[in-house]
Amino acid sequence: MRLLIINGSPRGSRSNSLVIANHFLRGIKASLQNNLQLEVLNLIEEHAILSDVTEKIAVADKVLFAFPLYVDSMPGLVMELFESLYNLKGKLSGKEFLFSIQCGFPETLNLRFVERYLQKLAGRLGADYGGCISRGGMEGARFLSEDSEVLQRYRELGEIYGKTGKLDKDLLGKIAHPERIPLAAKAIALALSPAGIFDKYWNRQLKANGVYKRRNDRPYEE
Amino acid sequence: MKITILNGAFEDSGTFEEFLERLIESLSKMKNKIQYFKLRDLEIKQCMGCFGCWVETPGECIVPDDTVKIRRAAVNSDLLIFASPLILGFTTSILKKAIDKMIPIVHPYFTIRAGEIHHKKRYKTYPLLGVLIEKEIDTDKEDLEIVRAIYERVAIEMATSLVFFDSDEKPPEEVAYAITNH
Repeated sequence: MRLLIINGSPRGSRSNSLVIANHFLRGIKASLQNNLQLEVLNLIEEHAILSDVTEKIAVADKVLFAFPLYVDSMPGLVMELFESLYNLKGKLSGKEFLFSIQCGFPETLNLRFVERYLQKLAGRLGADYGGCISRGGMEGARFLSEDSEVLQRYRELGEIYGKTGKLDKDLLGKIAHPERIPLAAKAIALALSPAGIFDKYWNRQLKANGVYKRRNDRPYEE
Repeated sequence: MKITILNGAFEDSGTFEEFLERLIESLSKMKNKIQYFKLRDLEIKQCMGCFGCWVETPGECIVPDDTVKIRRAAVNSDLLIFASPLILGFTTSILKKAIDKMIPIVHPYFTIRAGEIHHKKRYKTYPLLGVLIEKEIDTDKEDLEIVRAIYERVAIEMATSLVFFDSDEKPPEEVAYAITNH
């Protein structure tokens, strides 16, 4: 299997998207062992010459596009890559496109809208849609322990994919949990947030940078 | 009404550009004040997800480019229109890069909006949103639903509402009227 993984995160090698893709990949490697020709690339480092990336897509059997949610859809540079595939429309038959997307919002539902677009895109280009691995609450993925349940699930998903060529639906559902958090639970979590993890994460950085007092600045207000 | 229009077309494709220019003419005649940005002529860098706009220079991107003018215009407008041809079923990457650089206008902190978790408002008010597209030859009903749904999500995130979604198939005067009287 010739597998190409394209990390579309603008953070490149320091991204959560790559961490996640690598765990999925570890699972694939475990089941395919030597039967895998692999390339992983960071789009932000290659996007100056998008034609090189499209050439790699043209010779791969399977392509995994991994990226974070940027303002409710794909980052601009990922859309730029998609646009560059326009000329391959109809020439991608038999190739499989897979997607791994994540966001910082804790609820996975935020990803479902762009997911619908990705499925339509694969079909429009004439590629097979292999599915989309979606997961909210992953801004901190790069700080997770290897033993964390969710990263283990990504590995397991990869292992099954390596064996069967399919994304296991049950595992996709478990990875996506929570799809939606009950309103009351959200309200309680946020009511406690000035002292809780959400605000603390940002306030710590604002204080370290000496700009905590400026946190409510409105530089464009006229 | 103050209206900011972002044109995400890659090139002067003729009909869409002409449509926008006639639309702006009509909107101006209806006493609207227009700020028009042809994004392809501007320097728009990809947002790097560094969150410097949240934790280093609150409310401002730490990587300077022309999007500062867009954010300033947007925040002080009544209506922000995203105008773009569809390419492979979505609005262009140039427009998306400009939208990616809108995050300085909200807070990093979370709140509940529309029953979901979103970012808190930084400003007291935000412009209403509109989307104006040029269809592709193969654009179907599902494509329009997909694009519209994503921009409805953008509206929730920007603490506002999507008040119109249309294509360049109608006469620009009619669209101008609909925008002014939304």
